[in-house]
Amino acid sequence: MLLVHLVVLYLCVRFENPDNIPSYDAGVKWTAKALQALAKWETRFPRGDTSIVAEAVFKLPSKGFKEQLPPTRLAVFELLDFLACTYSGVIQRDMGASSFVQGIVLVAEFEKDPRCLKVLFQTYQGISQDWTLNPESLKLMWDSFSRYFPITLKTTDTSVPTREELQQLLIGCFASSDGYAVHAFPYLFDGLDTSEDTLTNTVLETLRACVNAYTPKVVSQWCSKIWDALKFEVWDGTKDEYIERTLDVLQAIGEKLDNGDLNWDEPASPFAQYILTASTECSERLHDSKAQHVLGSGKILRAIASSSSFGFNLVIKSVLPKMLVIWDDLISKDKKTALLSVFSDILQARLDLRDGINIALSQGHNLERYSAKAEATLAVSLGAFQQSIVDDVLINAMMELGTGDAGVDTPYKVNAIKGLVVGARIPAFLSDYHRGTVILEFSKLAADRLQSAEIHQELIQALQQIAVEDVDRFRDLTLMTFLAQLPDRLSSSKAELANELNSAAFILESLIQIACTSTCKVELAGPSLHTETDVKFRVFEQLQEALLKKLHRVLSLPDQLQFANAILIAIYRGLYVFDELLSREKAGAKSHSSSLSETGPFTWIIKDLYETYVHQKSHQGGPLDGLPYVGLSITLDSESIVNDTFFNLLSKLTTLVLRSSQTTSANNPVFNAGREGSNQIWNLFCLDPTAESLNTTQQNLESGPAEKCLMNVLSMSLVAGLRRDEKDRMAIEAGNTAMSMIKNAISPQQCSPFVKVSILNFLQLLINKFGAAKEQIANDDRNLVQIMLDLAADSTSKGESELQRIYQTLAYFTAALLAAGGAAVKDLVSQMISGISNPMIGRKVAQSFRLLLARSEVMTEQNFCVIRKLRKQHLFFLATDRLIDMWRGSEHKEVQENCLIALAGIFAEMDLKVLEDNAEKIFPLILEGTNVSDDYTMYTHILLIRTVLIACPNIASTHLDSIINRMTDRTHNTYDSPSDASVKCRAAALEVLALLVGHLDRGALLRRKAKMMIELDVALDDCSRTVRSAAEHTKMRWFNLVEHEA
Amino acid sequence: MGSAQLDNANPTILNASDLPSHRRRRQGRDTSSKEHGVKEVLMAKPSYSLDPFYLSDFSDTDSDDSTIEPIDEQEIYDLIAPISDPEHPLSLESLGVVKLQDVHLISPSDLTNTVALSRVLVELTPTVTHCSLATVIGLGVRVRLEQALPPSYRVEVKIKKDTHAQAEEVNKQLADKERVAAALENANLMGILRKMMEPCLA
Repeated sequence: MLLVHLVVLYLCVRFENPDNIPSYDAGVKWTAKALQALAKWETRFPRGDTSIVAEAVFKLPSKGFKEQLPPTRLAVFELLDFLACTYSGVIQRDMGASSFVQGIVLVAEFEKDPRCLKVLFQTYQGISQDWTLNPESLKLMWDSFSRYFPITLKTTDTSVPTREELQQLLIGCFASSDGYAVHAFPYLFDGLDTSEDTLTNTVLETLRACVNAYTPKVVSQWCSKIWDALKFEVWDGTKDEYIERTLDVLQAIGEKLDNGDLNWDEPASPFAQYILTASTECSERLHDSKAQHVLGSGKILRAIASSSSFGFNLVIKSVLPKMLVIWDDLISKDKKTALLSVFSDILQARLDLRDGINIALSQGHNLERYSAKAEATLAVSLGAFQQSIVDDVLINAMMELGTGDAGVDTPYKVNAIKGLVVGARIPAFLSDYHRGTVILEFSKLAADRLQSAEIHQELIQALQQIAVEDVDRFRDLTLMTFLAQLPDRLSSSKAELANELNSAAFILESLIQIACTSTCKVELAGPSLHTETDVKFRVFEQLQEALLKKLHRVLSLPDQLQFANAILIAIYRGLYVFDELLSREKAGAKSHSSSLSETGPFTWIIKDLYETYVHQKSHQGGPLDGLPYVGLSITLDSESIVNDTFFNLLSKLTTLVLRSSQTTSANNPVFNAGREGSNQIWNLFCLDPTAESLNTTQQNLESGPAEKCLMNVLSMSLVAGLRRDEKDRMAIEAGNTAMSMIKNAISPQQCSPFVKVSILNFLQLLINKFGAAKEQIANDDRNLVQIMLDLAADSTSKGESELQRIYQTLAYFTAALLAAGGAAVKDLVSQMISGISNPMIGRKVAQSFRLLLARSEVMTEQNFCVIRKLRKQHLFFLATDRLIDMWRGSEHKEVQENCLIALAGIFAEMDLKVLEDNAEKIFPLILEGTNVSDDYTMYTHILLIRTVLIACPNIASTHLDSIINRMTDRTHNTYDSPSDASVKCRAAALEVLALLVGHLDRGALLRRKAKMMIELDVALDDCSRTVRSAAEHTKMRWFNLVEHEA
Repeated sequence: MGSAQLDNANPTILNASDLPSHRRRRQGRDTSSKEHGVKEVLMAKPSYSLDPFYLSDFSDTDSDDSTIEPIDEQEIYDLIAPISDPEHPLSLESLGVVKLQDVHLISPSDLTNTVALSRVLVELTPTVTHCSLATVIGLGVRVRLEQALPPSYRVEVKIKKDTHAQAEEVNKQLADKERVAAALENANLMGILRKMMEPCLA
């Protein structure tokens, strides 16, 4: 220890440097670090040396400390911080707190470095909180740190603390001792007079921190001054953010002063005085004041009333009697609107208190201050005004909801709805009768399609808030009222059908917004069908049950599949919205999944649908005669698109259930409802006993009735919803099934485009997700890639339609493998490029390149497919050069056009970086592509010109005349000489012409301005409004193009 | 207008809800904000709409080029409504200077006749009867329409009757082609007009 003491003395001498030895001045940083290292050696460090070290450090300012580099100063501040924290008692005993404070303030006198300030603020905060300090020492430190307020730091250096970090530390200093209150509050009040937005925010944040940190005694001394300083920030405030922060401070004062033991009849306590003063001043502004003051008063009353039960009690006693008198005398709708808002605010404070208690209870806090007595007294206090508020204000306002001019009364009605919903949510505030009346009235109004959008939205939100707290009334009143607005059946007349469908869509969407955008908080009073699920599903389940019943009823009637589709969309949308909500509420989802090991929470929906609409049948005739298949038990519509929509929705719904975050490998219905000898992929939850042969007959779509193709869509949807690691449990052979899908896809059997694309999607899922391309195929030595290549290569003997089916399949196959990153993609793309020059199907093959990178509805990451980010680049390098060579080398115009069409398909989805890097090479082709008479290709190439123009103006500038000529060729659309471009292309071409101004050389453009203005005048006379709008925008840009900027 | 005293320092500003609705401008820009309600799902394009092998089976109704949409009063109003007042950072529509009912269009009966002229008359309502900037505003409206309408449209801009003390003098200036042309040679004036028309480019 003696040795340590001697080293300490030596190092302190280096600090003091009495003999002015130059080398000592150079070693300050390492001296400080060495002393800190010794001080950390607590068992050997002589505690009495602490003051020796501190005093030595405090002599540094006289030795040019401010000229030292920031890292050196940082080491010194770290040493002081360590001593102050670790040896605080020794310092206060040996040298006194005042001397230490004087010393550190002197050392910090010129400090500006953020790293040093970070340590300094921590030291100040620690000393202020833990040491016994006299007012003079506190003032010294206050003067030292308050000069940095607010922190203004402009640096991008990530090694230094951020402005926000330093600001929080500085706020911590303000709030670190009651002794600062006398300096901090006046200082902050002055800061409120500023016009700087950031400063106002920081001042309000600091005020709140001080109120939260200082003792109730100090806050009570200052609360009236804080109130005087802040009240006009709310009454006259124009920025919502400041108003909210101000209200936070006012609420924090209430929370701080409420100690839980207050005598509720004692009006002299500081807390009561604060509440009463604020309440009185607010209530004075409720009468004959401008609306802004009335609304501001409501917000203040809510803030202080929600700070504690005691505060709430005082507010309602002092304010409500006056409000009720004013309300009775009011005639002006505007004033009633404003006062209604104040009633809502006060009632909302009651709910805020309840929510605060619930949150505190859930966090295990001690809630003595929310004692049962307080709660009971509160109920009695509010109860005294209950009847007047309900009868004279709320119910009165409700009666006016369905009357009056919608436009004029909207603010009043919105406030009435807000007030009523709060009243309905306060326990026992409305009688059962009134509560039911409110819900029924809201439901009737919300189901009225003629209601204004704003009021409709407010009503939906109100019903949603009530529903999650009262699921029984949602089921009995809201749901029934809305469903009663749906007809039993839709008209057969097309004109009426559209209108009826729109009405039904409105009702259904409203129900989704009410029932699926929030989780339920209460259990049904009666028995629930879904005892295994969590309470949060109840409202959602009631809606889904009702919709399923309605769907079954509608489908029992002939020719109602369109109506059924609308209902099925609602079931799908409801599930989608609710599932997204659950995913966001991750904690809820976790606890839920653990309690659902047997059945998923959504399984019942798809099982209900499948068990109703699917059943086993037998093939009649053909090679599969007598063998079973799973078919339909509904009558299909005469229009295939209506049938397709139904199965598309059912398919999407199925996939959504399987891929939901609520579905686990344990509760996945595909694996939980198995029948012996079959699996759900083919069996489709069919209740009938199924034969093993179903596993092969169901996927054979070349033989059997057309309905099997629709069932295949459902099988595909099951595969789409399975995770990649569930391949083995899926219990189908991916390779052989993929082969079946290839056969189905190229089979000449007639089926709708939707069904055919679903077959191809099935193939894509098997290849991309389950590696079918790598599997051995039964009775064939080749793998799937080779089979596909052979099919496409052997084209001479095939007709046009068969070739089209083969190349269509090839495109989908290639897209799936490209996304997964398969090595065989090169051969497949080569085969596609070869197909371009086929005179029969070349155009279609070229167009099919757009399928390779296009976003698929089925092959997505959400459906657990592999979508490699590099697939775009990969395709670019596999195909672009070959297509360019073919374009250059071919003498046939059609083949050249096909090359440009294929390139458009590739470029359309390409990463910007790839386009930029290759712009010089591809730009001539892009220009040429705008001449191709294929709308997609022309449009894509015009968009690409726009992209290159912005990203690589230098390259575009070398083709300026070509760009102008190509674009004006498109936009020149007159009665005598119509353009070859569509509206979309003409508008896009004009956008390119507009972008020239601002991206390319002004002089070069000015030389072409006269010609451009003539062409733009032609475009201004286009028959399409969209084109004219783009033309006038473009012309204004060219009109503003002058030699020198104004 | 710098430090000059304002003719009307506190003009009446119309509520957005009181203004005539605009046609959606440049519709192509709004495709990203698609709604996904029940109705939208019901009307959604089929999943195979991009598949070239079914191009003939799927026709995109949005790209129906056969429709002729003639220029009407609403379109002309939409062109001038966003012009900014030279005194206030407010649009002429929000100040009530231009009104839909004060836009008059006389089109030839035969729309296919490309040489027939259409006539547009816009009547302006200054915010105060002594507004010294009425001529500049009128000039701005006229320049805007001459640039944004096809050459076959003859534009006339007038001060509405009984809304300005010197309406006759202002109308005379606005109708005088030579004076208008001369005014447009003035770089400072053109600078003011360009500034007024900036919101039209937004």
